[in-house]
Amino acid sequence: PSLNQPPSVTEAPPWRPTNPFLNETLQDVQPSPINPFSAFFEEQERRSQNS
Amino acid sequence: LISGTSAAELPWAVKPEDKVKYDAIFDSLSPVNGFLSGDKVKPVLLNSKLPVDILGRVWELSDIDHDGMLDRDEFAVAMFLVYCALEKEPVPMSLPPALVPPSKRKTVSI
Repeated sequence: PSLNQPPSVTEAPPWRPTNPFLNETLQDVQPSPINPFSAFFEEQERRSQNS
Repeated sequence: LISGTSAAELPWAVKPEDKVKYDAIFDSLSPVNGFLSGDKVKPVLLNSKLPVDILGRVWELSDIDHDGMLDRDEFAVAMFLVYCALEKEPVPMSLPPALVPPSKRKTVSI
């Protein structure tokens, strides 16, 4: 296989079809109310304010 | 039993106290038979606001048996990698041995 192939949506995906992030349009994704990263973002904000 | 300092004896990179947190998130997503489908995991990982290609790599590395589902150990790996990415650590191209959950380690090495 050539390394120079342009990235293509229709051709062989770089990842396995079991990968839910293959579909980059993400149209049907409902935001999850569960956000384990919110604490991280708050912490990050605090850090940036202190510096 | 095989003794020696093989990769199988590496301590898991996911710390026990973090595993407890990740398990709680896992359980709050109502897993079916101990597994979470990609549909359930995806919105949670998207909350990290990381680019989809990073999250795709995270999934690729954490879905160790490539069944399209994450069990609680695989989910912990995914969370670990997302936090790494949030801390601006590059997501590895392949799963480091220390990150492979002890439950997934094979006695036969590569």
